[in-house]
Amino acid sequence: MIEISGAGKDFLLDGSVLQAFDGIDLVIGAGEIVALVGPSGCGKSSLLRAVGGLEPLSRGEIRLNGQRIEGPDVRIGMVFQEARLLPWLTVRENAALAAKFRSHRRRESGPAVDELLARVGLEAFANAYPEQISGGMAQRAALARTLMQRPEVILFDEPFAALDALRRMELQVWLAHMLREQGTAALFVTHDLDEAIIMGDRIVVMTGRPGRIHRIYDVPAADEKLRQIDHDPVYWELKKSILADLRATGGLKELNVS
Amino acid sequence: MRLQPPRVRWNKNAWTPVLGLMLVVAAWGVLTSPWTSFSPIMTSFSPARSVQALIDVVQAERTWGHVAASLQRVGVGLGLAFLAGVPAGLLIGRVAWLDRASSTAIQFIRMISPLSWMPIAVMVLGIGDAPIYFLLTVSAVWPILLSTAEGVRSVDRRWIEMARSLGATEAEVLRHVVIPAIAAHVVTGLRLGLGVAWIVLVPAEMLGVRAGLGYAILDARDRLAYPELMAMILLIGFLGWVMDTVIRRVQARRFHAAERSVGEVRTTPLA
Repeated sequence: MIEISGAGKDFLLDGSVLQAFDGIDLVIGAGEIVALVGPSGCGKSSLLRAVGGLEPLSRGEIRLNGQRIEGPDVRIGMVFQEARLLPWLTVRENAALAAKFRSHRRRESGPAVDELLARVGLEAFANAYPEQISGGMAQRAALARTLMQRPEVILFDEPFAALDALRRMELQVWLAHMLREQGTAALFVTHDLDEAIIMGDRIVVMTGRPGRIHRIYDVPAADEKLRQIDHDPVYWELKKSILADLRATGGLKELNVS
Repeated sequence: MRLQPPRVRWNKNAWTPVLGLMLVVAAWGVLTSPWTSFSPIMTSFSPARSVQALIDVVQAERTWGHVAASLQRVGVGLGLAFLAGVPAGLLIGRVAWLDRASSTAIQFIRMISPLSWMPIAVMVLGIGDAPIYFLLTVSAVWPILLSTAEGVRSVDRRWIEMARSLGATEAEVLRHVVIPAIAAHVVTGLRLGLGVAWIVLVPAEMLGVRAGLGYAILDARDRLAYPELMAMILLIGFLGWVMDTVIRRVQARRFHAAERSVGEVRTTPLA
């Protein structure tokens, strides 16, 4: 369980203090998937990086199972916007990277790397190098690398932003299904409301800078494949309501409205 | 439609280096011919006499003794430069204040010709192989150190962040991300270091030793065997070229992927 309380982050820009986000209180339960939407520059990615221990907070604290997060933690996985595969390693070696680190080896053994690659549909490309595969495949390899870590929580920073619409939807459904099946919690930043609805159990709408929580929506539970706005009016209403929120907080013009 | 017979194409790219080499040999011939050279002694260095001497030289057993002595010295010098230059380069590339603290000193020392240390090296280390090792190390260490540090500075920060998020410690980041990422830079440094060391080797071997290619040149001069002297110069050039080509080949094959890593798939947020 992740508990974010009173979290705030300031940046120094040309000598003046810039508040990225402030006063964030949020609890992400075990196995829960939370989507973070809001205008560009509202500190979503900074908040995600703070949860991942990659950036310190200016105020407040973040706890994982009651333990304060001070730096990167092997129990928290991170999937970045770019795949960040190491070009001198094959897809299999990249996916198995965590196994080379002691913090990982101290834990009980996780899934076999080939099993993970099969799960992300890359078994045929295990011996390929990153430059030989497409952007979508690279992102799936990066996902396998994070899953290898067996994290309790995975943080996603617009993981599908670079993919084409069809591939993106396919991966959203697949990923949400897999996370639920494994009981892995997730916090993900997205600009895509359909993605937030397909994947999220809850959707957190943030205001413009400094980012604060404007409203939190519960997404009516259903199979991922059925969470389409043209399938059930309830999702259309939800999307309309989030759009109205974003309009009110000034974030609409930067959103991907489909 | 009538099919045209395939035309045999002149592969310009493959022949250009040969053409360049032929031009150099032609200029060499002109400068050392009895009609155009400005000194009668120049004719002793003509291509024909030099090549004849080279054939004799490569067949002589003592030549290979000289080659072995020189290669061993370059090997030791380059090895020591590698052992000192890579760790220092890693530190300087990774620790910002160390980089700032050392940059002026390094640029200052680097610009001193390694040969100017020669008298001091002999005074401190005596006559023999030791001062030569020292001079070769001093000449090769800078390109290795600077290239390593540059490699470390250019490692994609996002890879380091990714490794840290997977739970890697500083040492593990260094071992599994930084060192493989800079391998191509280190090899480039080694190649540059070899180039400088090979150049410094010949004058350094004119320094109280009884073997080596530099010594062989002086020896040929003392015996007035001028074509042999020229043959030794050709042999030095040829050996240097072979070593450089081998490293370049290894580099091209082994680090092809790493060199292209700059083109990693980058994403852009949806508009």
